[in-house]
Amino acid sequence: MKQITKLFLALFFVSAILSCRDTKREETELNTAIEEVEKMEVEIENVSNDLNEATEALEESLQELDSI
Amino acid sequence: MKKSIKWVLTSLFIVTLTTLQAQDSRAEKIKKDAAGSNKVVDKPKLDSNKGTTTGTVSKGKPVQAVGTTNQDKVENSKDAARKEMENLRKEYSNKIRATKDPKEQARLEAEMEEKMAQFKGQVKISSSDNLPNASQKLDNIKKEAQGNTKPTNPKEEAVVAKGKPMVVAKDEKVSATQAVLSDKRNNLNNSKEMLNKAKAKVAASRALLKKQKEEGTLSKEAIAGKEAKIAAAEAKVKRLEASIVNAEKKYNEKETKLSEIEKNKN
Repeated sequence: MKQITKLFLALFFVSAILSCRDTKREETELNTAIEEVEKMEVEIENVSNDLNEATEALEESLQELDSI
Repeated sequence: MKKSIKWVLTSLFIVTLTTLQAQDSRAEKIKKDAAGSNKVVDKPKLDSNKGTTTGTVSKGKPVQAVGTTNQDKVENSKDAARKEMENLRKEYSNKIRATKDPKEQARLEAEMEEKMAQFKGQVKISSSDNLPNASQKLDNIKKEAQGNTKPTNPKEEAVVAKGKPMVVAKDEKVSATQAVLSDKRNNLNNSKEMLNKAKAKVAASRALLKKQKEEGTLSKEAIAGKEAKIAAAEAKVKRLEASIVNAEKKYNEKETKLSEIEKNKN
């Protein structure tokens, strides 16, 4: 086989592998980002629930203060 | 090696490179479109006097604009419609939270749902539902809106299905979370206001109890009972204060992370 053909074949395989890797990497990055955002949503919801509970508890206490 | 084999290999190589190049440019285009559709509807105008939304997309049209020759335009208008609906919902959520009167809240809810139904077209949301249910229904409406659009060109649909969903899903998630965060920040501000009022009320109660003690009109048990109530209220005030500090810290963290993720999309 001539050198030039070998070179072409090598280039072909390298570019194919790189292309597949890039796509895979992008997909992984996107998945990671989505998962991260989902985690954030859960955390935000937890913090918000905690805040709501504290607010409700305070409201009850304040109502009791009305009778003083 | 025969000359014909060389030609075959060379052409194969060229075809592969061309395909890869085309795929790359398609992916780039899709990313740009997704980013563009978010930017277009960043600031839709809400006319609070008339109660109608005005912006880049007119009311009722986006989900019906079925483009058979230009899939991207259809996708953009669908995104815009979704954004418009989200903004409308956010606007009304803020109004509802700001209002203490339950009747006014019910009226605002009904108004919001009516506008959402108008926006979608014919879908009507029951006015008796509470806000989380209404947002769930809005999600269903969005899904329906996506389902109603039938592209006639299967090749275009295939391209969209390959490249777009992941990027769009991520962008939508980010913007939805940002909207949620903004809502939560409004809640936080309300809690802060409440905390200040509670502090004032506790101080007033303490002063009143002190005055009553000085007058000597109360029994020891009554004084102890009132002291306990005030102490309990103070403990709750401290708890809320801690929750507010924690929430503020977390919200800031999440906001920074979200903007980082949003920047990375381009």
